[in-house]
Amino acid sequence: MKQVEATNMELHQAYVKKLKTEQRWIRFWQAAIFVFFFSLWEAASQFQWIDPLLFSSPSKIYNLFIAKISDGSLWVHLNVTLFETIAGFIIGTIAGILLAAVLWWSNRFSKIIDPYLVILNAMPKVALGPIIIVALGPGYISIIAMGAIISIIITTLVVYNAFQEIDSNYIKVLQSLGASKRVCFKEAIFPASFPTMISSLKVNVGLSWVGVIVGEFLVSKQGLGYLIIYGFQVFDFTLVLFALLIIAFFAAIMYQLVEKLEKKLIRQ
Amino acid sequence: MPLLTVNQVSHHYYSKTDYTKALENISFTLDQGEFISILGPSGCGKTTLLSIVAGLISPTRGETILDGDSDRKAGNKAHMGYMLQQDYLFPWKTIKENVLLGPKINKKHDASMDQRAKKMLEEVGLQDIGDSYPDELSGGMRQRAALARTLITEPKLLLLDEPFSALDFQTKLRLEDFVSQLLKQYNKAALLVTHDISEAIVMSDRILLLKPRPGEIQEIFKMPGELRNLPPFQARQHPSFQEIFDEVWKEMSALETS
Repeated sequence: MKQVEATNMELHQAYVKKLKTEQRWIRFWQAAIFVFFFSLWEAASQFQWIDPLLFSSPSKIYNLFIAKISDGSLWVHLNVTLFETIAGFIIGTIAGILLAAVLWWSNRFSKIIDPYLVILNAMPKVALGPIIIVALGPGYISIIAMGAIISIIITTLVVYNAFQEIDSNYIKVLQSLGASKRVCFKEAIFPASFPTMISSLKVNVGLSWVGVIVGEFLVSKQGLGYLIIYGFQVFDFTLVLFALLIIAFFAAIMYQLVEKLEKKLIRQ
Repeated sequence: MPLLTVNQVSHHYYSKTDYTKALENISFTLDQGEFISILGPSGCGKTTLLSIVAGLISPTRGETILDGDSDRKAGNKAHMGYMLQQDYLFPWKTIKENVLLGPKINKKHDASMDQRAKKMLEEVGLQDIGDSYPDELSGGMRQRAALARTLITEPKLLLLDEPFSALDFQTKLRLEDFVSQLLKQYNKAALLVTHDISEAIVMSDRILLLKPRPGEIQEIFKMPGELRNLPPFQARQHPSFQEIFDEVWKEMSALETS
């Protein structure tokens, strides 16, 4: 009996070990791809396989990175863009969810507004950029508006769809307990749609970056989007690629934060 | 005075081109502590009838009077407990939070309610699992938790919409006995919708047999006293069970072939 127990323990330990090895291999290959890509880039640039003027090189970008940190200008640009993106992201998502709640509340309103939503969703939102800048002025408010407007409608449509998909028997249970429409929304519709809201958050992280960077292309004196467009104009592609890598890094961090939120909100 | 009076209730479902008569001229009464089953083939409007009694939909014609009150819209729903085919426990709430849903909605949630919820869960045989989530429980346990959620609001009338149909056979038999005993203990009235003849026979005092399209009462069967006083499981083994089963079966088969 005791021996069987011991073997069972060993089997479990072997399983855990196998799991850990697998995990280590995945991490190894991820790191290998990273190192391989940047070394190849560096080598290609050094040996002129690619035009170093156009494609720069990791070492030049690194030197620029150090320079930008030491003169403090990176923080200025990063702060501006991060603030605009996070503000656009939060405003877009919350406004989208609120609009979805209004649609859910009034069936008639949702039917009336439906064709307009379809048109607004199909329209490329960045094309509204010039109008937004004229309307709200050439400042960070316009850029935040760009970051928000790009995700509002799609959030509304996706979340409204989730509101409608909930099993009506949950509503029946609540109504039989005497719940009003407001209580039904709070107790069933809203919490049941958390998973959908989180996945639209994940989409919106990417969308807000698009809106803000395009907004900065159009009008700005600071920000990572400004660095890209400036670098392009003076033909400094080291600066362009530098800004791009910073954006990729912080977009990934924002995505990770949303995933953290997901783990907190949704019980596995 | 009966607890519930259903008076000439008819209900139609409309579509663009047509309308369907779901229920036609249904009348019956239900006394305090009485158990009535509504039996019929699928599509005979059983669930519609239950929703009308619950006040969730208002009938095209006729009225329902619960405890002398015919105004069924204005918040009187709290006098009802509704149980569905599945438990419909909210998966993101603990069992205790699920049970306390009724008091919370009716703004009666306080410390004494917490105690009541604990007692209620003990009553249905679910001690010490108040902090678990529904997906950690078996089907039978979940349905018992749903029962606790229904009973904590002290409903005058229990509406049961095939609450045992999604359970495996053994759990179903055990839960039938349990619900029946609990209803007798609290002297609660209940209206059960089912298509299971034997379940209707062993649980009820009376059976209303509905015929489909339109849903009308075809026949009312009164269960003999010797079956009514037995717990469902023992009633199934009583000699007169088979007799009644055959009688109801014959009537119901005639409905489906006609």
